[in-house]
Amino acid sequence: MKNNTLNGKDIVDSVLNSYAQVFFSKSKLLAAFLIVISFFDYGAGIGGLISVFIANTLARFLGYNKYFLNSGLYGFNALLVGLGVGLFYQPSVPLYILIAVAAILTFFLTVVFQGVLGKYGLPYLSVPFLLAIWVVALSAGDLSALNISERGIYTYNELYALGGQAFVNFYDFLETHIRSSFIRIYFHSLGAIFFQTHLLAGIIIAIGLLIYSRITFVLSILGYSIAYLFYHLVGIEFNSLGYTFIGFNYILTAIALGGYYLVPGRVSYGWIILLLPAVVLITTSTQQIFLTFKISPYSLPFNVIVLMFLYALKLREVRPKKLVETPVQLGKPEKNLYLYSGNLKRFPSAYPVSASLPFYGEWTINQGHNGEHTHKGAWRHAWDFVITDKNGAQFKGSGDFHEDYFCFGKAVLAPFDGTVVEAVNNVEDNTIGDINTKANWGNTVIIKHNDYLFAKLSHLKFHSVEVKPGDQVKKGQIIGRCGNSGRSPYPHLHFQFQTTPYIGSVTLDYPFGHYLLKEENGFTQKNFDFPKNNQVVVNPSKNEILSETFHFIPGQRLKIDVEVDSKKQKWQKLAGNFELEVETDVFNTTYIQCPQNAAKAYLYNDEDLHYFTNFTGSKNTALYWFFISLFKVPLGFLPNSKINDSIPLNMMFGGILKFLQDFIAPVFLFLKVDYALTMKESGDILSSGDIEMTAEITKKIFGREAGKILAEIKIGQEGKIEINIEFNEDKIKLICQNELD
Amino acid sequence: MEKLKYEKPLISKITAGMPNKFGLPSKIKTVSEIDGIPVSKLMEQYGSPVFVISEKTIRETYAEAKQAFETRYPKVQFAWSYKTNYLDAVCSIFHDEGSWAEVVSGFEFEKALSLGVNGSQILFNGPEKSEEDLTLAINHNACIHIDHFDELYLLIETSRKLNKKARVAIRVNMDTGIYPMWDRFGFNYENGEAWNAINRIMLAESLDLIGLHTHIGTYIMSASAYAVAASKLANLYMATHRKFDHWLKYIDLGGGFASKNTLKGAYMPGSETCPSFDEYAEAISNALISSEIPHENLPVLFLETGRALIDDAGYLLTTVLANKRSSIGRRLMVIDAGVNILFTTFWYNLGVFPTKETSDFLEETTIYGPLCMNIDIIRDAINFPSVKVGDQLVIERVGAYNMTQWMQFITFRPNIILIDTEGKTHIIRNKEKLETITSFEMNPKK
Repeated sequence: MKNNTLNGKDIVDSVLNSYAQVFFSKSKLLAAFLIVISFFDYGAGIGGLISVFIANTLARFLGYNKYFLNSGLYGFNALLVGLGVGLFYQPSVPLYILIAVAAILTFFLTVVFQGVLGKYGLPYLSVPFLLAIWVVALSAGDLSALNISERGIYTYNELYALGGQAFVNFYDFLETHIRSSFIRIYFHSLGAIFFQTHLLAGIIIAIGLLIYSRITFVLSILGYSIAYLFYHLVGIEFNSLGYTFIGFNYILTAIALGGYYLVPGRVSYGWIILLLPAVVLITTSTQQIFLTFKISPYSLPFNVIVLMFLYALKLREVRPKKLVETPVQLGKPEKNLYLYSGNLKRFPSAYPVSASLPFYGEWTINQGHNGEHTHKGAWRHAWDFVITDKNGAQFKGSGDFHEDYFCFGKAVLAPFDGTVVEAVNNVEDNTIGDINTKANWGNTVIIKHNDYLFAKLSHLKFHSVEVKPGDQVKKGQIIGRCGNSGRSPYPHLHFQFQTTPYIGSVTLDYPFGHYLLKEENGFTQKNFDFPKNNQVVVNPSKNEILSETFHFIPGQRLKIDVEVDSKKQKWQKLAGNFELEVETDVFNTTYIQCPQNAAKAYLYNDEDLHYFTNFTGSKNTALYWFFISLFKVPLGFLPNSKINDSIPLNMMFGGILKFLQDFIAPVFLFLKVDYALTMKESGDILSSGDIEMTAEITKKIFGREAGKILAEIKIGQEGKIEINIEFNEDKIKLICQNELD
Repeated sequence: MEKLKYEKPLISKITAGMPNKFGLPSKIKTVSEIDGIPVSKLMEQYGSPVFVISEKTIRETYAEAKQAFETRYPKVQFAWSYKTNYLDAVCSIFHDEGSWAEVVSGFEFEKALSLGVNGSQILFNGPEKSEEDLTLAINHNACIHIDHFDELYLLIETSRKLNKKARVAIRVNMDTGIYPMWDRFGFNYENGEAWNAINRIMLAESLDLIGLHTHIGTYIMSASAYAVAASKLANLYMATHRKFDHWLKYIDLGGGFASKNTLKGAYMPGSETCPSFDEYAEAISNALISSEIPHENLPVLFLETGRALIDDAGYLLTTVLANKRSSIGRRLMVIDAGVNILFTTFWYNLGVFPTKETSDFLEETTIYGPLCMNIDIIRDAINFPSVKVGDQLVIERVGAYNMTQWMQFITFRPNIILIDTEGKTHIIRNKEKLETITSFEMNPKK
């Protein structure tokens, strides 16, 4: 059991994150900026801090989820209420009691909305804040013991109190030099999110956003600009925005939908442009309604639009390729984007079944998708497979008899686990050249893999089908033999995926999971891809050493020895002995962590491939290099086989280049990191002998090579991994093995 | 117009109009070139007799065999049977194609190592393995196929001494329904000796049992015998798993696939009667796949076929030395290649073919080699056209065993030529000279 003692770091984290969460962030720097701003009005600042403490303490002692707590998710609504109420009234004991009560109320509203909206997979945004602040605002008339604050009216007086004449002069400089109302209102709107009325707060927040995330910063401007233009277009007086605390609705909507809850991209940006006018309308209309109650709609338009849009997106029937809801929230649009743009190709989530090729050995695609003979129209997503010799012939001898054809009578296998739903076994094989149009598909087996995915294997040999409807089959199990029944002039195997269990169903555009494509000097591993006409393909077979080495078991401990040969101090620091631990978290994700420097490398193993999926923590660690070198490793056996991938660019690029890339990342990526792994020695078919691979990591700027890292990887019988990394003139050697040895 | 070839007149009984059981007498084929190179050119350059090996045929045959098995069974590995032909050039082609090495002596083991074969990819068979050989094999992590209990005891002792684990398999002999049953090698299946050996090995800490091996015989003309062998080994494989929770890694069905040569005494030519790779592959893989073994745990299938992979790639080019008649008037012919270099002539009716067009008339002939020994008979009866002294002949399908079992006797052994895939010729073994023989001799009298 984990100890329940209070941890200072947890408390600080939970407080700071409560501030940063207002902008969907966990950036400590942004949080520090925001705290400073909140104390521009000390009454409000204290109110906010008290609320955060109360909400977080409640969450901690009532035993709510520690991860959410430390991420600030229980605190930020209370914070906003504390700030809002604190700003209304003069600081006094009754005020802070009121704030405490409001904070408790907000906390429970937060929990309730987390539960209710969580069921629909939706965030609760600032809905709890809205309800709580309205409760307070509607009672305002009766709270006679509290005095309405006069702050915010005499800005210069307050600034003088905070920082003296110099501060006032500085502010005055800003006031006089930023004349454009477009820019002024932008800063005011940003500041208004923290209930601040003056320019400086907005400027500081803008700087904080820029440092935290370029995409968020760009989105804040985009959202604001669209609203500004729309106001002008329809003739709403815009200057009122600055004083009604609602300009931020546009900014927050843009940040939330443009880059946080959805993976940022051209399409998400496009939708911001389409949606923001609606936010404007909701703002203007709700303002009229709320005016009758003498309260402000605050962030209501933002909450309405974001929740509505996210909920609508969830009801889509077709799994989207664009406008994708952030699959793993990394807390920063850039990270989400870089990880996702690679993962889109690495893990096409639309493919829950990883089908293997339904035969032994090397077969040739005789007709692919959209084939020239029969794969047309609704039946275009199908494959015909045959066996050819090295001259490309499908048969030996005259080709007049079934037995002349290499594929005839060869085993046909189940592509994936499933249940047989149809098995036809009694159609005679045609004479070569003849076709049977009555029993078009000939002897056929249909296997149900899941409710919407069926595989159909046709033209099987007369009386060769070994399964019957209802049989459970395992991936790789023989179901029949390749034959020449049905509309088949010569022996071949017809294979298609479909969504319904019937013979004659239309085809489904669905790929094979992992297969090897034969090329001139070896093989390339393909993942979730579609074999094309005339390609020669074969199933990879598993290498036991690789399978065992990359089967990381929770609780497993590894030690890693690092030797460095470099003149640079940066690299020299890497040397030493480190311990690694394998763990699995509540989301069933397995990761390797290095407790000494809090780095984590997340991984995924689908039995055919080992993937490192993500890395968090310091990059100047042994684990980082381990992660980079072994980014993707096929567990199949075949020397000279090659696999390609791209590493998320934020893993390899930093500094000004990445800073610039962030700005335009959703539209265009000019930085790229290619990963290529070549299997040089793969032991042998008995999986004895060492495995040698080379990983080549190429950094590219506008497609041009801008640096190369070579990693020679050697894996021994006992799962000892030796990696020699070389770049520029620096060498790093990692030796990783199980601690038990 | 070219001058017609002169043929000596001959009186023979008329058989026209009386087709015999093989139909009308047919013209014998001529083999004038090998892989596009004229036989006359080869002999002009490399002398007579001369062995010629076609790399193209080796690679094509290998590809055919590999495809036959790999499209029927998920994990297949060939191991080149060294004793069939252990010329460096030949072995290298097989290793290049991906074959492992199957050796039966310390000499062959060292030869494989010298060709760069990784020790762990050598299968060490045979009844004769000295302590020295076993030490070599253990140190190179080879797969040692144990033949008998005495070898097992020696191996346990040797591996203990070396303090290293030895990777082993046992050779199993069994009744597969063919005659003769080879029971002189390995442990018998039916009487329980093989199971006994497995138990002892599994309990021996210094041994790691990884496979089962059998070699049911040679020139097996029935594919079904392999199916019987495969099922019996599958039974042992499953029994080992059941008792010891240990999946063996491979089942080795050895060799013995027939080539297209015709055995002496055979009624029909071998090319018509011998099973193809497809038939062997079908029988073996069906037997393994339909056995009790779950398909996820199917072992690697090893094949040590030698003869069927190399026989067709070898040719012997020879020259007619003399034509004569026996006391009863039978036609006799002497050629310059004898049984000392053509060992397989004891087993097969080898195909002998002229290199130039001949007339349609064939006469039963005995072909003798050049040795001054009565046994030197290449063909005791062959319907052969008339050829003249100095004419060149080609003997086909001599790639297996001849170049390893030949002996230096009376004459020198000839050149061996390889025609590579680009049609270039290379000497891969030189013709012997006097010093080749005498350099090994010591003469105390001189």
